[in-house]
Amino acid sequence: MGKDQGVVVDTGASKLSDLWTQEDYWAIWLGFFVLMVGMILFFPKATDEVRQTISQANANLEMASARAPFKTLAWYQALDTKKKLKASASPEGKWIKKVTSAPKGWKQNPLEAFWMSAPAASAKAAKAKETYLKVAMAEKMALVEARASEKMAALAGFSDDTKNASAVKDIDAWRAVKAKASKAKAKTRVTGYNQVPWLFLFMGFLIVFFGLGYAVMGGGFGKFAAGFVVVFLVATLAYVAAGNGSMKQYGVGYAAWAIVFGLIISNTIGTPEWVKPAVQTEYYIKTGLVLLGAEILFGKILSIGIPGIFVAWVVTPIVLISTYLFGQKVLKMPSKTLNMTISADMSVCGVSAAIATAAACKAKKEELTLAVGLSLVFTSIMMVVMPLIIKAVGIPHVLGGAWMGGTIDATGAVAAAGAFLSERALYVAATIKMIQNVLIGVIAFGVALYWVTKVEAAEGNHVGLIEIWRRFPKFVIGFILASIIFSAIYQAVGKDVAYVIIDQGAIRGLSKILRSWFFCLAFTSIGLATNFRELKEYFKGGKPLILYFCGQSLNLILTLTMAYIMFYLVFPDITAKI
Amino acid sequence: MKKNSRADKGLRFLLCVGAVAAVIWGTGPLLNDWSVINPLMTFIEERDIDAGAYYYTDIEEFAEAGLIMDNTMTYCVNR
Repeated sequence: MGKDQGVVVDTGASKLSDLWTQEDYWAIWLGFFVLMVGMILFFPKATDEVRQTISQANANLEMASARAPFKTLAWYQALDTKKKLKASASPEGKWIKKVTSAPKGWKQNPLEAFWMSAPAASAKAAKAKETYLKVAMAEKMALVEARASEKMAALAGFSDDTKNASAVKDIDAWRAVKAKASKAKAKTRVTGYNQVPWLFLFMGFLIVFFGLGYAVMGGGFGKFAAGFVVVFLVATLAYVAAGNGSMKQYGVGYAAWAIVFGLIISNTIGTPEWVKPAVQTEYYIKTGLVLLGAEILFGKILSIGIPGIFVAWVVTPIVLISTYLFGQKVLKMPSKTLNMTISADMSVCGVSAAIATAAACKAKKEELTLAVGLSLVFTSIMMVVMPLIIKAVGIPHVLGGAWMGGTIDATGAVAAAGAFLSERALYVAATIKMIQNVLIGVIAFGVALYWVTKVEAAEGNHVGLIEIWRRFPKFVIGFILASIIFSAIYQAVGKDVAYVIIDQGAIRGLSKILRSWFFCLAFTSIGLATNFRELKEYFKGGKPLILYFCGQSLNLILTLTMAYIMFYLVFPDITAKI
Repeated sequence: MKKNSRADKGLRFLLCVGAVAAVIWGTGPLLNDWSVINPLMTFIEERDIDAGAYYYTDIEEFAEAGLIMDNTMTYCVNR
């Protein structure tokens, strides 16, 4: 295993023993083990009571929709009833969250990431309560205004456009204050905590989880366990840095910090030899990707109707292919894998797309690092600049939301920029980005197939069907299979129940928490195994930067054009509904 | 080529750690005060949004947005 630590994916050889001697298969077994646990724990939470609550809420939604030509207060209240149904809110869900939780957020004192005394927590809660009371009062006022406007519209039989528009505006304002109040309320619930024992317990679990596979693949369990302690500690520090208030605001997440901390260690004091058995980039990435597969739910792609498909599923592949061809033909990028990783990272959804594509096309760890770095810089800039431009030019918020959702790389930055514009912009931006996220599955599969059939064939290798199978990165099969299985269950149980047991159960309650940790461990490993001088070589001539800039410029133009055509020329009725 | 001594390595390590600390405690909060980005940063803090989240399942705002859009498409047929 891990013969070539510089490549994100290794090659396969078709033997029965591959099933337990290759990390691709171990990634599948481990990933599916987690998904099975998630299903066993959370799927039974779709009780009759839950189904009854959903039915009642749907009846109320239907009634509210029949009553008025806009989303009334009753409509949103019915929706909020559905929103509260979460399988992860069960006792077992809360326990998993406690054990697997990353270090907490902090502002000045990093110790608060791990520990806070009861008196300090009380003081913090009291301060938060002051803020909450102010926001709660504002929410109450906004609700009173929204009720009054809706009443005026109702008195006019909902046929007066001016009164309807006024009601919509006031209801939107209430939703925005409500969202703020909800966050302020959550901050008042802070209690004393000590995360350290849980982190040690979780580290022990991960040592067994990954160590067993490592041992069966021929490594030593003890050596892995010793090295893993350091890798886990650096990963934890990455989470601590990412949890800093300012870093969270700028969108500098754990991946960037994990690489930075790993690089600092490996390029100053050096990564100790005894740590290296646990520096297993591919092993962690592949297992994380199998878990990510379960989050690729194809039922989501119709969330905003056909316009969403065009903005996210037509523009994105066009930009991806155009950027890749531009990199090959015009810029003459020295590495096809770097070209593909940056193209996918820029056109699809940043870090998560970069990870999946890098693994599918066997990119080098330095190439993945470079793509992540570029994405981070551009995301921070776009998150600040795009809402300013949209406001200054007066672009409608539905269009602005679609534009930002389709172009800003990082998902978190899309939420921040969208919500900053308005709740309506957030809904559109988030939905477009979510549909684009789902595209990762198709892109990763397509890239893996293209690489084994075309790119490697171009290097002079004959590629028949058996050869394709032998070369195909097997973990991608686990990744796709997880996506197909969870998408099928999602469709079978219906969106409402799926929201409770899949979205807010198996995924948010377990698999995404572990997936984030696995990616953090992978990026830590990348940093710990990377020589800074080698990394600089990949940036020579600034071609990656030019590629990213040109690709993103095309993305901005095409996405805005397509969003305008779809939301304002072809489907204005959908825009009106939003 | 001359090999770096243990003291050199240690010094470089400390310098890097110092640079990280300067970014977290210095540059970050300092940039927050810049009038161009301050309103967005204040908003992100108030709404407790993790702008560094990588995937739609990493962020709660997406769950609500998805739910709203799904129900809008299903139930808002009269507009």
